[in-house]
Amino acid sequence: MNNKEFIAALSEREDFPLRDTKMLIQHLIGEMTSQLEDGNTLIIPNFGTFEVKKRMERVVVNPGTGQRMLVPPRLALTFRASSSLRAGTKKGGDAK
Amino acid sequence: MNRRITLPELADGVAKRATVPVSFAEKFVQSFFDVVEEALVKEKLVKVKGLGTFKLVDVDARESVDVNSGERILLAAHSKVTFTPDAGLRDAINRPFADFETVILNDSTPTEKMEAIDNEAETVAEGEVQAEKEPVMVVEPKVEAATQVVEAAESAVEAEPEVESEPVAEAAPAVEAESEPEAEADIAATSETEAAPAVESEPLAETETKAETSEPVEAEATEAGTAAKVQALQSIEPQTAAPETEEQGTNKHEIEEQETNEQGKNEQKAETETQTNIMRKTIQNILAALLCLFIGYAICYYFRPFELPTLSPAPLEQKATKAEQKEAEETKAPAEATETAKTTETTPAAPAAKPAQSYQQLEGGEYEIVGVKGTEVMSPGKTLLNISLKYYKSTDFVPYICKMNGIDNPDIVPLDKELQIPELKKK
Repeated sequence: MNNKEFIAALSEREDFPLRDTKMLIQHLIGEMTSQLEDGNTLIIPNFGTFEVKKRMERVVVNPGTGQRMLVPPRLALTFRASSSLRAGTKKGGDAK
Repeated sequence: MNRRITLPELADGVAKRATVPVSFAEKFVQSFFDVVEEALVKEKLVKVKGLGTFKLVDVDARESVDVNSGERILLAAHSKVTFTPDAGLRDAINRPFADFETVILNDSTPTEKMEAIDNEAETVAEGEVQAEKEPVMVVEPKVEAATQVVEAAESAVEAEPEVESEPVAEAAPAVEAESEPEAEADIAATSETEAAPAVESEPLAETETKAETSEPVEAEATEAGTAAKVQALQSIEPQTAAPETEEQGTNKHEIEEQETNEQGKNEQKAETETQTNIMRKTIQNILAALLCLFIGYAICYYFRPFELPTLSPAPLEQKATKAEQKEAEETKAPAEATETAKTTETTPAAPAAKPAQSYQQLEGGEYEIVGVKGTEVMSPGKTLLNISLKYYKSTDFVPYICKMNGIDNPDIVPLDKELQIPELKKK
């Protein structure tokens, strides 16, 4: 399901104009982004947790050339599905 | 930062942004994630622009171990949700670290820098150690002389004076030059060593004259009946030793009359010995002296504080005075030989007592500042602690240094400040 289909599905479910739905989704994602940029953790009940984690710098070696490189630290967004989401999708994936 | 934002709070923010009722925003946000879940179940993939991609990934069955029971269990194949953030969102979150770039490491550069730093620290430490060693070196010959004297006294009275004069020469650069004649003398002396003690008394009288000039020595040597070769070698040795001692003596300020007299006697003995047994003994003594030098050096290096060097002038002075008094006292008979043995024993005691005092200063207790020991210019890397350690072998004397230099806060010492290191004396 791509973005267009997703917006359509959400619009239909909410019985809300497509344009307004698109606008609301943008606001929602903007809000989520700003919160995550602040380092906050988003906890969505029955869905999962969005959290920013720091990956420490590390030295990697190119197995082919043996060249060593220092990979800088970075902040990564991680998502962990809640138990209910995991239970719901554990076998649901097979349905397609 | 690091707050936990729940759905109502998120909806609140959305409501403010979109200027819609909070209740509506809350319902919308809930619906948003519900749709994502439903779409995941239906299509295994949901792309949300600006947020990322939710995906259902199949996981194959695998064996694992039950953490509690330790039994091997089979985890069934299942699906799990993965989330890959959009490039825009990913970059936005990583913005604080965005300036970092992956650096290609050259094989040696990082470690070389680290090693270079280490080496610098080591060289600095070594330099300090060497500085410490040098003063110790000066002290050692004296200590050796003392030890040698004691040993010689035990074996034979005659040997002692020679021992003293030799260490002095060794202290000066001339040590090697002396060693050669000694080696030659050894060969000749080996046969004579036993007979020598008996002959000693006579030679002593003869030696009195020799001390003044080298010429008489040769005549006396023939009289003593010792080997001609040995005598020649011996005559050279005392002469060389005497000038050296005199030079050293010039540097010395204070001379103890008693000690000098004793030393003078010793020198007389040495002269007499040169004719007879001296050759053998000198060789033996020199070898012993070299051993003692190494041993004494090691001992001093490990146990002697810096203050010991200050003691060195006294023994040197004694030696110089010996040379001067030798001429005057040469008139005295062999009877002095026995006295010299005693005196030589006493002389070592004096230097020994001084080091003991210095040790007391180093050990705990209260001290008073009696003078300036040296100066130290503060430079990067220097601390009051390591200066104290350098001068006193202990970090406990920082307060004295502070007091001497009017430092109120030991943690803050201006760069390039010249510190005067106090000479401490126990109250």
